[in-house]
Amino acid sequence: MMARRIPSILPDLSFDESLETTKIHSVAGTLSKENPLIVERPFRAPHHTISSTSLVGGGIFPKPGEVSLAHHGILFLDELPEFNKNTLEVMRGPLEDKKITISRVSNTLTFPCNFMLVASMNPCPCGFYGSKQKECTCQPQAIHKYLAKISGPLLDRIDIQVEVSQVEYKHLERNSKEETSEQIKERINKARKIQLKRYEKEGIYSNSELTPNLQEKYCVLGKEENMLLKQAFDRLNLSARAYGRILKVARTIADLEGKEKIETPHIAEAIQYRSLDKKYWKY
Amino acid sequence: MKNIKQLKNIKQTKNIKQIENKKQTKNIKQIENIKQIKNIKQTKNKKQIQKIQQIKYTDKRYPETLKKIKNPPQKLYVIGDATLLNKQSIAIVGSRKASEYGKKYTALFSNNIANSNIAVVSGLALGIDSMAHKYSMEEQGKTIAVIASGFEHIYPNENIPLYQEIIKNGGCIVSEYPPETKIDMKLFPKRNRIIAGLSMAVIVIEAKYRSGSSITAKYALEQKKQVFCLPHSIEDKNGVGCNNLIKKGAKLIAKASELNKYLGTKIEDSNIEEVLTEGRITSPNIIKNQISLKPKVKKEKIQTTIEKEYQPIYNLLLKKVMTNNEIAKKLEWPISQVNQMLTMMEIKGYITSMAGNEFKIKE
Repeated sequence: MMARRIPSILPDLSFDESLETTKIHSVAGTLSKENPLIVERPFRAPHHTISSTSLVGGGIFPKPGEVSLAHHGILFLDELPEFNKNTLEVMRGPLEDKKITISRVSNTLTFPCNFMLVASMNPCPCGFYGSKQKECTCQPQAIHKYLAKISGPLLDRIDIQVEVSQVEYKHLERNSKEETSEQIKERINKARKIQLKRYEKEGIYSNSELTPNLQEKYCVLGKEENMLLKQAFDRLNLSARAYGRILKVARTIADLEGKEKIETPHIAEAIQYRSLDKKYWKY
Repeated sequence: MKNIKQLKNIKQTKNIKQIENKKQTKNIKQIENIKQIKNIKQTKNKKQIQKIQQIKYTDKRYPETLKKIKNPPQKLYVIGDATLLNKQSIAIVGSRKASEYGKKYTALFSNNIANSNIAVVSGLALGIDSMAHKYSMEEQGKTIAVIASGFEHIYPNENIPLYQEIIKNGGCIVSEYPPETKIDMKLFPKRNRIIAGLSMAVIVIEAKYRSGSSITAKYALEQKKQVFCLPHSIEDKNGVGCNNLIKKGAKLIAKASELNKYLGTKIEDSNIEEVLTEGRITSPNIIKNQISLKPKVKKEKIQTTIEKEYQPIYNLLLKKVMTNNEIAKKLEWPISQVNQMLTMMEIKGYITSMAGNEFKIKE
């Protein structure tokens, strides 16, 4: 439910991005006469029975897959461990390179796939591991087997991991004054504009596209922030890939607050979003 | 003439065949010999490494306490120090999915019991059983693991290193089944009678309604042995079995030294236990220094000081395990700030996070 609301807070599609996405949909033949130009970010949610070919693209004459159709948008995989393990592993490359090359006898094509991967899953087969309300009835081995469907390398590429506890009825009912989607979208658009302006000369649109070279230029850390990151690395056993990803997330958090420099709280928050795998995948 | 030639030919071929047959049989014999030698080597290796001792009912080494139970095993298979079986021992059992509370007291009790030269008996299962074995060995104590399968099929796989460690540290592994017996769930409840039979008393740390630990307790009561239970909250599903046992007359145990009254042993409590059970939780600083279970770590803990900004959260977590939401509610801080602080505290090594967004003090 929560993931389906994400499109409502996504930043507006810029003209260039819109053209790119439209091109892919045109190749795939999914454009309709009513909407010849895609102006909203795509939201693709394939069912977990999807094959690896339809996920990344393929066929005798290669067609773009779900990964490319979600270009500049969202690819949402509900119930992640239910997917075929090989299908999930296929996404590793595209997630990193933001493009996929499909080679077939007739043709070799490269499709762009700059998508945001959103996935949801339960902590164990019965769904109550770690819950306070109800007891988990799974065998330890069953939990391990369930979690093992998501490999370390794939997990490493997921920047923000959040554990959501069960919601009690009283919280559902309460008239709270939480931020609405419009307000959030406004904040995000603001941050996006900062990024667009900052990366005007670099030929990229957002923080997620930063290369290691550009990271050095735009994600400058102070002494204190560096110390914190170093400590985090030693304590939490983070990978080298995690380093760049934490920096990018911290950069985005700073942008959301309108700060020019990345500060310690930003880094701390970015690290916190990575702690989930250390808790569950510690076997 | 032709006929004769044919005959000769036939003879020759026959001869050749015979020779070939002989060769083959020789080859086969050789191969068999090699196999036998290999087998002997393998068994030798196995015996050298593990030395499975078979103790019959009539054997002197057969534990006296086990003879008194209803249907004692006719033969015991033992690896390690078999003399342990005739010495004093106390069983510590509990559920496979252990809570933090259960783990803490398992560690304490097995530590204290091992300190007074009494062996800790358990079932080599995951959770409480593993903790009992580990923490009794930490104090250079001896521990006995009673398994429900043959020695060639240790269950669970995760505990094979623990199994080897027990043997290395002078403990022993006991099974009533021959080494080739495969893992069978039916056998598990049955071995619990040996756990109860070997020990003077049984401590049940955690037991759900109808659990293996309750079965052990049942056997212990049948064998007229004392059963001690760790008390639990009524709401705690992990403690239903324990509370039921207390209802039925099992003794409530809060300190390891409480065993002395019933068993005539000389078990001493370590410091931390006194602090926790006698209500001396006045200054969090005392606990902060003594909360850790391992004596070596205790000294280090004294040296570490916690920054002022983290003190409120740290003090809350000292009392009990909490989720980030609970902390935010209690302190009336925004959740984002609490999350940030928790991350910083985790990085600095004061706390660890657990499943379900829960946090606890690092030991």
